[in-house]
Amino acid sequence: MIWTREQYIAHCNFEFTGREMFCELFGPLLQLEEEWRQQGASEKEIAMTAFDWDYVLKTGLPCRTGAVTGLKPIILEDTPDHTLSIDNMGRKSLLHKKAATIPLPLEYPVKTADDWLKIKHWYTFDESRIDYGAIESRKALRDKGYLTLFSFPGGFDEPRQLLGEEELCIAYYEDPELIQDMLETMADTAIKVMERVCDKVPLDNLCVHEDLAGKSGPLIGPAQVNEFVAPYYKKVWEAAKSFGAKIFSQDSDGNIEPVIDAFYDAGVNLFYPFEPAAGMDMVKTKQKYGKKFCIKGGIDKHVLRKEKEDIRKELEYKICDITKGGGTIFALDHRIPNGVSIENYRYYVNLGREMLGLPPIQGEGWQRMAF
Amino acid sequence: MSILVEISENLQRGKAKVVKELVQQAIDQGIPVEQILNEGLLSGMSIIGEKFKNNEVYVPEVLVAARAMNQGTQLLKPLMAAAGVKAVGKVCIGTVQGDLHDIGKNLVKMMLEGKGLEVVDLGTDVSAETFVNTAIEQNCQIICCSALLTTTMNVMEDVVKKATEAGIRDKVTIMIGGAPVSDDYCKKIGADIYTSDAASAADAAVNVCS
Ligand code: B12
Repeated sequence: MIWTREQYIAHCNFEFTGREMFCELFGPLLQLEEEWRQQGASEKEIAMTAFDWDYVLKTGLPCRTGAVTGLKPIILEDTPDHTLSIDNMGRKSLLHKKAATIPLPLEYPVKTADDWLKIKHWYTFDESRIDYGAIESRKALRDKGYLTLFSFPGGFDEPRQLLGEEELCIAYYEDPELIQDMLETMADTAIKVMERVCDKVPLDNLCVHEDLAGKSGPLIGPAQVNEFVAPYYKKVWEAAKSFGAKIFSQDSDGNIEPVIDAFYDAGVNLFYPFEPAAGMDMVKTKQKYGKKFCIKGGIDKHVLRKEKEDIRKELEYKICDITKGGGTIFALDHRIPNGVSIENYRYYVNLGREMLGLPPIQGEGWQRMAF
Repeated sequence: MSILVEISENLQRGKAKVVKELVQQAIDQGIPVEQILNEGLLSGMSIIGEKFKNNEVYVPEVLVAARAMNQGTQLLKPLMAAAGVKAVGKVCIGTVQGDLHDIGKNLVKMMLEGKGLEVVDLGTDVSAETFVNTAIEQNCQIICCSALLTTTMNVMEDVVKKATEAGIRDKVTIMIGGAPVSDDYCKKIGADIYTSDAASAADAAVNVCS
């Protein structure tokens, strides 16, 4: 089913809209397509549209808040296995074509505070960040019921792109002013961009990408969130609210449990993808936090690699009175992994629909819901 | 407060410069190298490891502590050989072939070093052959494999097979970890130890070597 903006916002804010929402956030992991083709899946199944997924109509606002470097990527080496390139931040990066779509940076542009000053202009405000010509068309979409999205750089993720995880973690201790200056610059730019665009098209959903956790917990603790990231989020969220935003969604894999409170206090009211393999349990979280924030994802993708009985058990556990009735967008917690048979996937979709009280598959459709 | 306690406490706070100065002072005072290492540096790192396991501190604190430890061990290293101090054991570690995730692997390495183990770091994208050949050539008691992807975790099974083929399976312990890995998977592929975090990995490695 296609959801409208109003329905989606109401659902995220725990108002029961008369229907549960069942989505696929990211789609298949690279190798899965090949496996499904061999198992006789239809092209529409591979494209996800055969499953009649729920999604909301959405449009990004026509602007850029992150790094505008002016650098063009250069390919240094391209083999069937990998691509070595210099990316648009001037970083040498390696892409493992068979296993990934995201390249790994092998080096980082900021090693000292001086390096930051040299590239700070990548993040400062400039009118060219806004595509004024596209504003009218986005406004028309919103008027038709589309949800508007506004993304800004992650408070952990963006400094990580500049310094690398390890140096960033050390910089919190050894050069806190550097990180503060980065985040103040980014907040300032995000707000200036927002003021110009959202003055014309109202904003519904503020989005931030962090991916800051692994299986054993987050890469930064509540101390770093409170000292560095929270003031940054609060500034941008306050501005977003003044332009009508109702949802502040954060994308982070891994176990974010120890930092949920800190992020919630900083304004986040929708967390995804809530990765069970890393220890995230949306039922327990909902028991603890009630209707404080919405969860999107939360169903263990790895269970689909197992037996049908395991899939049933996972769905029976996750779909319950605590999670139903608004405030949960049921979905796998990330890309559908390799090793999931098309048969198991069909079983998952049909059983999930049944347990959520949705009608059997009626039509076609899918859009990524990872935002 | 004894200088060794001071070393441990400053290490826990990530004060690399202070740790370096204190270690030098301890050497100058004639405190045995092994004692400085065990009761100063490794004791501090052990406490950090334990706190990391319990989510009382996070990666930034572990990294600054590890950096402080390195400053200290650099001063001790030349003296350790002369004093005949041996590492607790030897381990080779890497992220498996096709996989470039290295943050978890690096943390495991730091924790292993923090327990006094010698670590051969093979980096990322490491083939099963390289793990096994390194273990043979460098006499490692443990092979540590990290995998973060369901598409690459099967390389761990190859490591077990290759170790068997090479005839070292009974001499080497195979430890595995990473996002998709579980105890069940460890049993299924015939590896020896799985742990979900770096501090427990280091504890388990010490058990194997002692
Ligand atoms: C950061 C990250 C990245 C970074 C990696 C940066 C780097 N230098 O490592 C980037 C952006 C490059 C990346 C790329 C990709 N990633 Co990634 N990534 C992550 C993320 C968010 C965090 C990983 C991390 O650093 N964790 C922090 C560390 C501290 O935790 P850890 O690694 O788990 O390690 C701890 C324990 O597991 C244990 N441990 C680790 N190793 C070992 C070894 C031994 C022997 C032992 C005993 C213990 C142990 O101790 C550690 C410390 O306590 C995870 C999410 C997750 N749940 O892990 C996804 C994740 C691993 N990535 C995923 C994917 C899909 C990818 C890509 C394929 C994406 C793409 N479309 O291209 C590529 C693959 C690149 C490649 N070929 O390797 C998926 C894998 C899903 C699957 N089906 O397997 C995950 C799980 C995300 C998700 N929610 O699904 N990723």
